[in-house]
Amino acid sequence: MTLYHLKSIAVSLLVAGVLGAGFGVVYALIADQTLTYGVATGLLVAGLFVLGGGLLGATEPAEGWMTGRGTGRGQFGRRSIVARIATEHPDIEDVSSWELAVWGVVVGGILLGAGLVLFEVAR
Amino acid sequence: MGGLARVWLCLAGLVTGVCSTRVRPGAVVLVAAAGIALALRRRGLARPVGLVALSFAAGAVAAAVRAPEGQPVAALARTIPSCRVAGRTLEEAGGLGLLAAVDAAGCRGRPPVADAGVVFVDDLELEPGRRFTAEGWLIPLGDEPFERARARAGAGAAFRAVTGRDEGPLPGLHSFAGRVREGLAAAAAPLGRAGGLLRGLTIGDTSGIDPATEDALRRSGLAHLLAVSGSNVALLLGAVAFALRTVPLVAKVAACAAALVLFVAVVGPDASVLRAAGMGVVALVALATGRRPEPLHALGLALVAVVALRPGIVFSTGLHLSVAATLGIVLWTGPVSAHLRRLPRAVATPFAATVAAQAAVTPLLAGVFGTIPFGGLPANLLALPAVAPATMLGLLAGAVSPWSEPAAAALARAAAPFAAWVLWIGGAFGGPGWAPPVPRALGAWLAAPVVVAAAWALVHMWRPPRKLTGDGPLGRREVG
Repeated sequence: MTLYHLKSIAVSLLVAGVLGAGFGVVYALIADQTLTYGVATGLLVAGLFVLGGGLLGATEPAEGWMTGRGTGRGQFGRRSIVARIATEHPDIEDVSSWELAVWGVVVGGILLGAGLVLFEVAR
Repeated sequence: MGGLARVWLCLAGLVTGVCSTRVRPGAVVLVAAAGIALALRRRGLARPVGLVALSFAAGAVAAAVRAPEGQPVAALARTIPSCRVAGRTLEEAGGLGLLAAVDAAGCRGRPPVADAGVVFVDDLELEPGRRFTAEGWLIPLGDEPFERARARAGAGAAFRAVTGRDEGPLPGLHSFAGRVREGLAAAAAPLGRAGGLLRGLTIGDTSGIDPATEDALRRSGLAHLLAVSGSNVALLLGAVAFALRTVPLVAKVAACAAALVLFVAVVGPDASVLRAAGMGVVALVALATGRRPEPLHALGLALVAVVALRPGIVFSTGLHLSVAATLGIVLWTGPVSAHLRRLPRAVATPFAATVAAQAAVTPLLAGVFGTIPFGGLPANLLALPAVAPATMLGLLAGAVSPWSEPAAAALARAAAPFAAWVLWIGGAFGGPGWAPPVPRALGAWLAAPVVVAAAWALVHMWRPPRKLTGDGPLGRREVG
């Protein structure tokens, strides 16, 4: 399975969406906002993190970020979390920079779009 | 004598010179001449003493040059005349008000004066970096603590506006900085209290924070987050350097310097901003010359530059708190985190830095404000994870706001949950019971152990490295 396989995208959307929505519910509770507004904010945050994570993973050098600190912990330096998960996941094979970038743009973009639509609903 | 000692001796002399306002010019010349003579000798304590004497003279001269009494506006204000002025707003000087340069002043019964000096403008709502014309009263600065603080900030008088008109932004950098400030304010406006805090966290703009929230943040020991400091500068420079990681070093350093200049223009040259920016400049110079920036060196050099350029800043409580917190972090983070080996490094280091900063500023808080925020440590530790994302997203929102309002609004919305968390923590630890009043004298008593601990950390930091000799089963072994 590749990173932009439909199943990968769907699972990523589900996990990031649930985490974002949970984050948004906590935000709605502590900031006295409506639930819709909170979830919209949570999806926006999740979308930004996914987009940033995907692009960071796509542009990182082969030896990983912050090389030197990670020496002695395996063959990589401190890699970005998205690249590390994608590389180490048993069902995902041959992760390239392009795949990571496409994954970040698609999953992050959908979450960002969903957040913006929910903001309109919450208005 | 090491370079670090020279830097801090130089600072001590400079500060003493700035504070010695009653020294006569002849005495300053004598001290400077003696300083040069001593500095040229290579024996014993002659050079350090000469360095201190020279720095003292430089501080006295800098203070005299920047003395507000010498400004035409100070002489004009003696009779409290009605004037029409044209000028430009410079900065929001903390709680002192809006500082403005008067380019032209026409006062009743006096000839017009050009370049009249610097005043605090009261009763006129303007942002820094704007041109304005106004009519009102020029008021001399008296001996009240508030007015003395205004004089130390560089003002020759106060101007109480009756009518005023905004003539638009200043050209160039100020205009762009104004657009960034306005863009961030517009993006944060729909977010309520969280938006107000976001502006405070990002650019130190507290105009969107209501007094109750500000009080709660002060009592919970989180008010320092509203002052732009080293963490903002570190985030900014780190982000720029990271974004330009593939470009040559010279271009990267130039881009970081440009971002730093723009950032200072946006947030205004407040005491803590100048201190942090000065350290940032030293770090950039070190980076450009292939050296590792030493924090104590950087702090000392930054303070020397800032005090030489703005002598009045040595009286700023904001600078005292900023320097104390920085010293605490530099001196004690290592020793404290060394005792937290069981915790992950990502937790131990921020924890140690928070403990160090809180310990360093507590005597000042007690001595100056007569209160100790007992919830400061847990509140800062709990708020810490949210501060970096909120500040980073706020900086991004400000940076994109001149080009895309929707993108700035989306980034501000994404920052809102983190700002809301900080507000929630501030509310939880901001009740009156968390920061009871204490006698101000307690500050002096608390300062004693803090100074001893700082000296201990300094001595241990500069302990000579152990000699390595011989080969053992695990490589070279330490002796001595």
